[in-house]
Amino acid sequence: MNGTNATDKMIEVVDLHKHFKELHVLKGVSTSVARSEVVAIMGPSGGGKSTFLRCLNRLEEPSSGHIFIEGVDIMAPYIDINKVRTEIGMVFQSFNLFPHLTALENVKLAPVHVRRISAQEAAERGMALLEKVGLKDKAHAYPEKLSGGQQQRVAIARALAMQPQIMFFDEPTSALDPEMIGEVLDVMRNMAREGMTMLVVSHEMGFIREAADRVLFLADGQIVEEGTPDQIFGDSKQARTQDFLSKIL
Amino acid sequence: MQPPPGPPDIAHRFRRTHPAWFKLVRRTAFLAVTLAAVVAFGLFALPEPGAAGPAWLYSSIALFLLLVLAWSGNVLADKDKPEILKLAVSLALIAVLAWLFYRYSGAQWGRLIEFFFNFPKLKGNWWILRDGLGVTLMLAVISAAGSILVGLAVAVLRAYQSRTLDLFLKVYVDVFRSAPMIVIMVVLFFALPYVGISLGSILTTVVALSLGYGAYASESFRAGIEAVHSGQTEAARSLGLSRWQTIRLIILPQAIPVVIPPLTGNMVAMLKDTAVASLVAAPELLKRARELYTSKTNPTPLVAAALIYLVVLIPLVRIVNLLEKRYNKGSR
Repeated sequence: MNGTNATDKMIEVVDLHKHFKELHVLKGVSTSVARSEVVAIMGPSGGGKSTFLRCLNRLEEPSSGHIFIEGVDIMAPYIDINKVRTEIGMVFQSFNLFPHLTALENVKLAPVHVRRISAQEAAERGMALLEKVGLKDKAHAYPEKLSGGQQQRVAIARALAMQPQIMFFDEPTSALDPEMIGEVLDVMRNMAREGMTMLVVSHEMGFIREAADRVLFLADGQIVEEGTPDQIFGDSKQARTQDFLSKIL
Repeated sequence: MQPPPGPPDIAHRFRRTHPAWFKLVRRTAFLAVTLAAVVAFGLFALPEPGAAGPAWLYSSIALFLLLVLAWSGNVLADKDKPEILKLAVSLALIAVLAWLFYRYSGAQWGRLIEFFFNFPKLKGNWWILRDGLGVTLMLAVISAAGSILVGLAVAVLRAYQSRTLDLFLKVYVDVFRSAPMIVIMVVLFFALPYVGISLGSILTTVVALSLGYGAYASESFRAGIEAVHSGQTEAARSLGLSRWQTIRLIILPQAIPVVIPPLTGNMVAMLKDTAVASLVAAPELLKRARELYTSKTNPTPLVAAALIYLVVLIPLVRIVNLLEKRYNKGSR
């Protein structure tokens, strides 16, 4: 987009540790994500997947290590983390839509109050995004009137409204009824096709095989194995990975 | 065709059963006869006041009371009797008790009315109580606004989760929730002048009520803020909203509807507590009533003030109940 080539590092993580009191959740995670790369994160529950993702935009404060977003160390003391977060959209397992606001107001909120664009422009952009996720007709509905799949699609539109460089998905389909998973994955597939840099915690094998460039297998706070979906699913080298995959298949 | 041999009578297995005497005491005829007996006992067997020795008098009244209560209890406990009958029995019970009290208490009704319900004495002085009520309501409204502001500010500051700040705010909240309002007011009014701060009686009242009820309000707000799911904060922060924007745009709009019923309850309680201000000479309703009591040497103004408090507060208490019901039902 802005002249950088497609292989430069969008995110680089160096030796990331996270302690919750006694509990050592992340034990030195290092990896990097290229621009437009789609990286799936898999692993057993309690293995540190969500914590890893939440450390990358400092919703959880990392205990030590370095995180570079577009080459800038966001752990540095002079960094305004709110500005960093405007570049990283995040989608949660439990949607977390703001229940006192309509779908459109959810989408408009951050552009108006953080980006400081006019309410009218935000509304126009918001409608365009809701149309993109197939919910134009639900713009004025409150979240409680929407199904889980619809709520999650509004949540994606809300994150996209900030025009982020990167999108994080923390188990975006785990709280959905089976028939709604497809509509959310379709939206995510389109984003991947359009070149969004994405980190996705998910166990949706079909989606990962199709859309992900790389899979990180995270267990016990460490990256046990990484590779393309075909390598991980078909030709895993680690017993830990094989064991996990045999259980979810 | 012969019907197939049915199962044993299942309805019979589940039927309510009572011993024979129980069925008897619930019969209409039994109730009518016993009622007649109790009424006859009350009318003819109870001794005239002063006509008998105290032992005989008290034991016959006790027996009569026992019979009355047993009879009405028997009716009220029967769920097959119509509600209208139970209402009538309850009213009759109250009437009987009042009649007993009137007949045997030896109360000096005339003097009671002369002292406490001598409303003609208030003629031409009602405006004093009206002015007092005006001051009471003004104190309550200003202090309500003050305490809501204090409570909101404290709760919002506590939502920032700074340990040091939280410690100080907790001390404030605990001290003012533990100290009786009368102590807070007296200290503010009589002690502060010695350190060069004289607030005057009105301002003392407003400050004391705002601080005291602000502490309660802050706890209500805090509960409301904590009831908002933590995912809301995470979603807001992940969009780049600052902590203050998150509180203002996301948390408070969800917390405040939850907080309105308990807060209204606090404010009604505060309206009652304005009466304490009479101790620091604020010219509110109770203070004005006490002045009248002194000048008329008759406590009727105090009774009048009590009635005024009831007339103002009972509707407010009802409103609080309605609010609670509505927000409980409409919880989304």
